[in-house]
Amino acid sequence: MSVTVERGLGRVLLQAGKTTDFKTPLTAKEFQMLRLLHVLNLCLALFLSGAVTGCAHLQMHGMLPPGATVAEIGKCDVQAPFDLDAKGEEIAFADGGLRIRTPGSGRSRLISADSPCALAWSPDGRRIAAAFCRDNAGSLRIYGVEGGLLAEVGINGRITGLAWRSMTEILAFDVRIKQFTFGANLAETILQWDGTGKPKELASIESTLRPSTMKEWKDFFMRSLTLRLSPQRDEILYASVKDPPAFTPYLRIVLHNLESGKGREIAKVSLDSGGAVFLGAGEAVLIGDGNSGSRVLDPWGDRVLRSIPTPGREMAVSPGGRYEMLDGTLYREGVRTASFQDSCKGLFSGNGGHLAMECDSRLYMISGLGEDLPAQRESGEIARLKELKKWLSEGLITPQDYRRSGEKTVQ
Amino acid sequence: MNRFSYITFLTFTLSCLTMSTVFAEDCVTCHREKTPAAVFQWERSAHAKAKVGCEACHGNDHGRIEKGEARVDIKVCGRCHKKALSDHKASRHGMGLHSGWGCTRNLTKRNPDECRFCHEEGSEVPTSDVQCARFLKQSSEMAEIGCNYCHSVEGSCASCHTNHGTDLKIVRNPNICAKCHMGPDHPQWEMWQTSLHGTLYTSLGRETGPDCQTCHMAGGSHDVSRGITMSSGGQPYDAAKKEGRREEMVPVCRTCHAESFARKELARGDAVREQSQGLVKEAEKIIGDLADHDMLDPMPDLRPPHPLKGSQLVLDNQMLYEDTSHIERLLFKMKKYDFARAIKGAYHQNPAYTHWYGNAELKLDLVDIKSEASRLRERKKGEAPGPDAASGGTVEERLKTLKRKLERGGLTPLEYEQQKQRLLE
Repeated sequence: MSVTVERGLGRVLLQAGKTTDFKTPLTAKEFQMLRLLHVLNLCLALFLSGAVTGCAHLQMHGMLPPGATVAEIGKCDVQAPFDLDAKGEEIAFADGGLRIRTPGSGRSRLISADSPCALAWSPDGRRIAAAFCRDNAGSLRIYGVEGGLLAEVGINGRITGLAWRSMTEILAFDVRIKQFTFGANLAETILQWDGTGKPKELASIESTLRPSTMKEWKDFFMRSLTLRLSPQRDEILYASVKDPPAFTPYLRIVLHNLESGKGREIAKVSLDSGGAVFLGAGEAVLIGDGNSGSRVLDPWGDRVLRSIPTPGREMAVSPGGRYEMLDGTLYREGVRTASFQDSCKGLFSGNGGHLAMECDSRLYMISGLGEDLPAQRESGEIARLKELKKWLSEGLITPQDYRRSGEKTVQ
Repeated sequence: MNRFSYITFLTFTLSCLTMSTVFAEDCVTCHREKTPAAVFQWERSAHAKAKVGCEACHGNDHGRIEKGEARVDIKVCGRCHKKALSDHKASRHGMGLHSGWGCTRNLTKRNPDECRFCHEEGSEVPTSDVQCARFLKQSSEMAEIGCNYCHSVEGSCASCHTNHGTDLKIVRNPNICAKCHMGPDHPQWEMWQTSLHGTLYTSLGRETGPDCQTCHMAGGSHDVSRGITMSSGGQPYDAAKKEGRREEMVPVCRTCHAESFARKELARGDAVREQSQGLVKEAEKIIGDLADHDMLDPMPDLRPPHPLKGSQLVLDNQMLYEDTSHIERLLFKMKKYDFARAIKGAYHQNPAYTHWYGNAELKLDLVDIKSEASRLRERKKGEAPGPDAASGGTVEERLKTLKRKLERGGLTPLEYEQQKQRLLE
């Protein structure tokens, strides 16, 4: 239930689906009464949402999808990382250390007394990779689900993102800043580590930043420049900073094929963009421009498939593509359902049934979402599609060749 | 004009006329001790006679001069020597710095100031269409002595005229050209010196024997590219441009020779150039085929990227002499040294350079390149075969081969598309 006043039309919406039209402008008294009614309604809505969800801190407008519920998990560190296992049964997060909680049973355990700066569950949910950062140095560790330390290596730089490329290999996005009198050198490096020896450097991008850019954006870069792994685990998306001397700095969104090692710029966006995420089977990419609109792009054909009027500063997409969480708003099949604080950061479980959210240093879990996951492909088909994508990234075939051959493979 | 104004005007004008000498005297007092050679040369120069003092070129801000910010570049000289400046700019000397400057954008320890040679501040678009790639990874010392001492000719008259002297004896001496136009890549000075032209010059003087300036700066022009019918890499200009240039050179030859003789000699030079180019093309094709089949060691995608072409094979004038394969190194020598000696030797009427340092070396280079190609092919045969070895490698290898062939013009786009679709089927 909500009340809005649209002055230009002199139209009052009292209840969903029930409107009264005013042919003449409202009198001052009528307007004051409506304002009072509006405030009362908002208070009622907030009270009801709190009562239904049991969440005192979460502000929600609109309705959750049918069958979905939201529950508070607890507090977490400011802007701390968190990750759900594939089934959405366990959540790892930072709260004065690295913790794992099982929302179903309420069980919670401290894995490390150090607070991580990046986290990622292994695909089978039996291990967790965690990065610990100290300025331009830190460590990368692998823990068993019960907290045993399985592997550790020192890292130069700050790990801002982690992903498991396979059951044994971790990808890490390493950001290093070297300050000079004339500005700074920002190095973004993609590392691969199998838990033994030193991580292998897969690619590195360096840019020179002006002092003004560094002053305004350093913390953001150290926190938000990260990588996203494709569902087939053969490509990543990342943003690299470009700061030309006489122009506004911006982010280049790069699609990087891990098999070929070739990267390609697919978009330019403003610095406060949330970057880009893969959609569905990885054939489309959702890009936030950081200002007014996000867009779904065919990265090879450079075609815009859909536009969404939200900046895309915080973005998460469910594996089946039914749900999107953009700048604090949950969309179901493209339709807005519930809105939370703009700054809420979301993350869907691998089965698409759960959405974990961090809002103002508190964690919440929305369960009961449910969706049809993309059909599992045969290993031969997956291998062929990966091969085609590799050739595409190397410029050996065109997007048209890729589509044609890909369709034949899937048929 | 009243009397007072007249006197003021006269005083001002006389002051202006004498100011330069007055300032020069101020400088000379100290600089006779600090930089005696500069003062010595200036005092005997046409500038001194015309009362063009130190400050006319260097300005009078001693602080800037001490910081090296008041160097006299071509713009300063061009304020008075306008015709020389416009001739110079139209010539190959006028782009010497751009063509020779080491493009450093991919180097980790680059000097940010270097960007300004090709870019306006804030722009990624180069201001010149001359590509620059040759002198990669040079130390600043090597770049200064080994590169800029010659290529600075673009922006510095002193490169030929010296800093403070104006005596035309200096710039009419072929040795001034020899500073750069000698050595393995373009030994024009040696060719001329040991030709009949050079011998006549040495024996009987420049009235009888022509020197560099006689032919290339005829009539005192600073456009040293007049009459030249090919690029600095030996590529002939298109027919219209070539014809125009030839018509500039023939009158120069006619000063001493019959026109028919001059045209015949120049046409012989053209023929030598074409024949020599045929040998180079043959070598380029061999290397292109090897690259198509992944046989270069190392392949371009396994080397530091070329600053202009990335991981593509570069065999044109922008080919590098570092981070390359042995067979490309042989081509570099063939093209940059021996091809240049053969064709420039022919145009400078030097038989030994045309034949023994040029043509013979070109043919020997081709022998070396063919031999190295055989070795690389044999080595490839010895490698473990890929899954589709019977049909010439994996599908990916064959796609790469097709792409390389397309890039170097070995396939038309239509042929490439047809062969690619067959592979994908």
